[in-house]
Amino acid sequence: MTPSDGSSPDAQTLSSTARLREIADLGLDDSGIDGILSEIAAEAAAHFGLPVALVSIVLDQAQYFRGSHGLDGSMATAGGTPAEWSFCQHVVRNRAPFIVEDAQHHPLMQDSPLVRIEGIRCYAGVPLITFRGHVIGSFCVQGPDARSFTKYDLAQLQRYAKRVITRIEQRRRG
Amino acid sequence: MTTDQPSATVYGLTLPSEAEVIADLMRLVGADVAIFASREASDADEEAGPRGYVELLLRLGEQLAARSDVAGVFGRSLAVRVNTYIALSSPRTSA
Repeated sequence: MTPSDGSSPDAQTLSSTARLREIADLGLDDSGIDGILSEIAAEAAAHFGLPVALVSIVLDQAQYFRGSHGLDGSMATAGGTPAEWSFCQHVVRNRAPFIVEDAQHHPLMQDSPLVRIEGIRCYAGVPLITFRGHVIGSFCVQGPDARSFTKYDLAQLQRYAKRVITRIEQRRRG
Repeated sequence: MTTDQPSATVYGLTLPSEAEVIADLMRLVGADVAIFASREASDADEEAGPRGYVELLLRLGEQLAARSDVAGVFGRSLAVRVNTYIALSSPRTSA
């Protein structure tokens, strides 16, 4: 599959009040859902043979991991990263999958500290879209080596994302 | 040898000023919440004794994150950024 170039991002999307209100309404902080989402992430990482899988909720200025597998270092300690470093911001901005086969040569990602310093090289993420139609984040897998992703891979990621959003919606408070 | 030189600099991560945080909050949720949150964080900081600006920002983020509205989302976002800064700025030991 051809890597996405993530063109024409909507810079206003991340701080959309309606989108942030949707995230607030989901009550992710007090739902005790991390364990369930991390199990799905672990399953995805094993399926793709990649070390890291994430349920990333993209806030206005940071991405926040509500489920994860394989994280270490500052990302694990902080539970997220600044939004401008993230691959997942592009999923939200474009409301579409974002595929990076080799981040060292990707125009949107090659300067990110996650690539330059943390060594992330490949990424595939799909939108987490709530039942009300808001993109709240990305379900993604990533790894330290360049690799390609097929249409089948993308379809499988979409299935994981659907499971994630169903679990999240079951705990909606708003 | 131990150094506390922030590697956050290497990552290009800087923290916002308090004025920038309040301005963002005002834009998102209005002046009342923004000013209240800032005073709460400052008061708590004074009660706890002298602390650095990083701790003040973290406290503000965590206090806001406890809210169930858009201000809570903003607070979680701020807390992640500050916690990243702290994680990257921890003293590192070298030979």
